[in-house]
Amino acid sequence: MAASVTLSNLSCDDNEYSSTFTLSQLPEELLFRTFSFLDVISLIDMGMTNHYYHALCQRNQAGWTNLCLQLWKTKIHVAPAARSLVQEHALAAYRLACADATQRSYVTKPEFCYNPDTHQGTVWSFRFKESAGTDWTSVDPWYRGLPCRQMVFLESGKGMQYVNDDEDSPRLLDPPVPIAWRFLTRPMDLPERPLGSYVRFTVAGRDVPTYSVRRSPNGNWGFVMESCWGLYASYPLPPRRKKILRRAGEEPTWVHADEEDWTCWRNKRIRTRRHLHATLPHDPLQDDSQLLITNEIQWREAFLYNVGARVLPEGDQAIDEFDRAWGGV
Amino acid sequence: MTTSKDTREVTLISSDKQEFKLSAEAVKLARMVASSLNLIQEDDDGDEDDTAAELDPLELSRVEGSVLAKVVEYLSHYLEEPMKEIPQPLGGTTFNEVMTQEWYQTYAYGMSDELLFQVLTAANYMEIQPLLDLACLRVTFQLQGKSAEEIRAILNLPKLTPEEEARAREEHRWVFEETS
Repeated sequence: MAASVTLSNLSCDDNEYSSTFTLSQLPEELLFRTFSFLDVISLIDMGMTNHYYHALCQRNQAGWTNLCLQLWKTKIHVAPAARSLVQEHALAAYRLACADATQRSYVTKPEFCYNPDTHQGTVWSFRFKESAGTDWTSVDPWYRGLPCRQMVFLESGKGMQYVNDDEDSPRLLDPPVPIAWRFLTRPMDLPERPLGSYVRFTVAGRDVPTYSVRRSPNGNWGFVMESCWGLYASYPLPPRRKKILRRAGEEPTWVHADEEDWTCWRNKRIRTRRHLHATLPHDPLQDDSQLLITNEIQWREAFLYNVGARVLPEGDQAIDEFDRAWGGV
Repeated sequence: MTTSKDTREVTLISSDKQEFKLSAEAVKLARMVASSLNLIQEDDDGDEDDTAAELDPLELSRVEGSVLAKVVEYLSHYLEEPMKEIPQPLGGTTFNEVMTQEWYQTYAYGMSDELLFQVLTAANYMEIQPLLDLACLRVTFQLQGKSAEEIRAILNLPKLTPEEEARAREEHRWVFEETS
């Protein structure tokens, strides 16, 4: 138990009085009630003041259960182990969830798939990148300002279109051409990663360039998977950012219509500490320049697809085999 | 059909024998007091017979007069202007952003820290949840946004050793972001 301590010389501007009172004499239930209003960082800081408050601030009653629920309701995928732990030890659950979101960049099968019987699982939004070419972007609804196409992937390895024109009863339809999926660990142009890091789609019987999985850059704990030509997200993709022609200087340039707000937000000095796991107000996926997998990175797979290959090689020997077959390309 | 308000008068007596009168309807917010006086009926059908009996004065031996005065002030005003529930998350970075009702802002900051602590304790004892939340909220904003060092200074806590400080920082490194 801490020695008796006092609150004195308060720095709050609103307070005209500066007498003292004894915080530590409050019963634990009142300390917990006070702590339960604190944000995560303030609660952590309170717990770092001394051993007594450290012990109090670790407990569920200090507000961790609520903090878990508040954070997780803004997130797309929360580790099931964290959800299971929250009743027993909410701080550990909070930390586990944050660590999982930070350290794991591959998707598990339950996170990836959709169950048509229970209607539970992930609905993936899809759009083409500009690099796919106008033949594809011209038929992509996202480029016309409409919501993205949505797909689901069944455990059986089949891909299906997800149609939600009636919210009470979404429908699964066979896509115009058959789509199959599987995980792989070592595509030709990309390094080896754990299972769930790469997805190979076979469309109309032909392998398409591998989709690389990572966490969404907007901090919502969702997943994105992208290839040199396409992008999936495990949540509804925001609409395309409108561009306007700005006539500043000698050369007029196309800029995003909300560029000023975006730049101000990005350059603003953050005076208060920001939680590492806050979700960004803008989604970088609206802009192809923010995406990672380019034609330059995935050029072998893109090349093979374009010359008509039905199966794209994978594994450690794939590049050597490609070079032997296509050396000089 | 609306429930009629209980207009009977209640007398609360502090530990130093000061008497405070207020309506039974206002006192209902203090669940301990209301329970002691049998003010809260399970099936309140508004029947006048339920509210006919006079109410005995209630001694609150754990609450001083100066504190009870502030509690009574809160209860009386609450009847006229109920305090909005404090949301979680708070939805604001200052006390006034969270508690937007001016009277309650003035009330919370119109007493010394010592009196605030006593009102907080009394609200807990008398089971006045909104007043408890208001007082806790004011304490919260003395701590919110402060670093551990600042809180230690405010609370006059001894500094940690460099090793303890380093261990604490490492334990919670996961939550902080470096700002440039």
